[in-house]
Amino acid sequence: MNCIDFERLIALEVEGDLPGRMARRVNRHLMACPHCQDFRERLLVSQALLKEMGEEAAEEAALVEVRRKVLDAIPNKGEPSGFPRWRWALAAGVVAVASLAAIILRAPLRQSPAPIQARHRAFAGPGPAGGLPSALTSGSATALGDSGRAVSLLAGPMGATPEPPRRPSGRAHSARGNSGSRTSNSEARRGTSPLLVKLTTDNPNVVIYWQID
Amino acid sequence: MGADELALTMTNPAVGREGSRSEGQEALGRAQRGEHGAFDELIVRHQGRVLMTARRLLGSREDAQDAAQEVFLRLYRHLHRVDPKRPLLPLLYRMTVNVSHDMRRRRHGNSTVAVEDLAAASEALAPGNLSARTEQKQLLAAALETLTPKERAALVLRDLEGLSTAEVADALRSSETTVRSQISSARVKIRKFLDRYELHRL
Repeated sequence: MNCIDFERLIALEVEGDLPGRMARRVNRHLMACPHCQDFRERLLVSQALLKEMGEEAAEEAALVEVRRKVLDAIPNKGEPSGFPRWRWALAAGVVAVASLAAIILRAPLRQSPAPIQARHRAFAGPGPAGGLPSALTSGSATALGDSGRAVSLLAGPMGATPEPPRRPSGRAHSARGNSGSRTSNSEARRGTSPLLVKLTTDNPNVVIYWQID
Repeated sequence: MGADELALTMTNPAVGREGSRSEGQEALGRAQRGEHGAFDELIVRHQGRVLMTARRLLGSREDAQDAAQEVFLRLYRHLHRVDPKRPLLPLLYRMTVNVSHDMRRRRHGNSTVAVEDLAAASEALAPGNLSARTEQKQLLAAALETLTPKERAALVLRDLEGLSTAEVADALRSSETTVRSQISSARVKIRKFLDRYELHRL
C-alpha cells in the first residue's frame, strides 16, 4: 500500500468514517510518513471549509418563494392530497360493472316464470288479503295457467324481504282494482283451475308472480 | 392549521421549521389524510434542507429553487405512497438528489467539469477583488463541480448536511461501503483542487 492508497483512507479517517482496525493502520503509517501527515493537515482545513459551507442557511426570501410556488401549484386545496384520480375512476368502473352484471343476471328471471315460481314455493300460504302488494302502484298483470298453489313474489332490486302472502279476499278481480293492474285471462279467472298472475311494473327489475285458487 | 397560523408562518417561515420527529410524522399522517395545512407544515419543516441541498448539488440559486419546488410537488403527488412510520427526511434527500440530477442533466448535459478547466477558471475569481470568505465559498462551489454526481451527492449529504454514512446510504439507496468509497474519493478530489488553486495563485 503506497501513499496514494493511504490518502483515500486518511480522507475517511479524518471524519471517523474508518473502522477501528483500519484507522490504527493509518495512524501507524502517519507516524512514519511526513507527506501523508501534511496531506492530513491540509485535508482537515478543507473539511472545516466544507462544514462551514454546510452551516450556511437558506435566505428567508427564497424559502417564502419556494413555499408560495408549491402551495400555488397544488390543485384543489380542499381535496384530500395525494389520492389519485385513477382510484376514483376505478371505483366508478367497478360500480358500473357490478350494476351491469346485476341487470344481466336478472333479465332471464323475468322471461322464465316457472323456475321462479318453484323457487318461491316456500312462501306458499294464504294469498294477499287486500289485493296486490301495496308496493305495486302501476303496471300490468298477466294470468298464466299453472297447477301450483303457491303465491310467488319476486322481490325488487332493493332487496325487499318477501313477506309470506296472505289469502286474497276475492278473486283475480282484486288485482284489477289496484291502480294500473289488470288481468288478461278471464277464462282462467272464471274456471276452477289455479291461476298464475304475472305482474310487471314500470320498474323492469320488479316482477311479481301471484297464484290464485 | 388555521388561517391566522398559516399567515403567521407565511410571513415567518422559521416558525415550526425544526420540530421533533414525532411531530413530523404526525404532520405527515395528517397530510396523507388530506389536511392541506399539514402538508404546508411539512414544507415549512423541510424546505430549508431541501433548498440548500439542491443549491449545493446544482450550484445555482435559481435552479435550486426550481428543484425544491419540484421535490415538494412530487411529494404531494405521491404522498399516499409514503410510509408514515418512516422518517420523511431521507426520502426528501433522495428526491432532492434525483431531481437535481435530472435538472442538471437536462440543463447542462455534461454533469461534471474537467478539473483543468476549473483550475483555469478559478484564476478568474480574481482573489484580490473578493473577501477571503467569499473566495473560499466560490472555490468550494467550483470544487464540488469537479465531482461526479454520485460523489457530489454523497459528500454533500455527509459533510455539508451532516448525515451519518448509514443515513447517506439509506438516502441514496446504496451500500455503506459504496458511500464510503464515494466520500473518500470526493474529499481527496476537493483537497487536490484546492491545492491546485493555491499553486495557481502563487
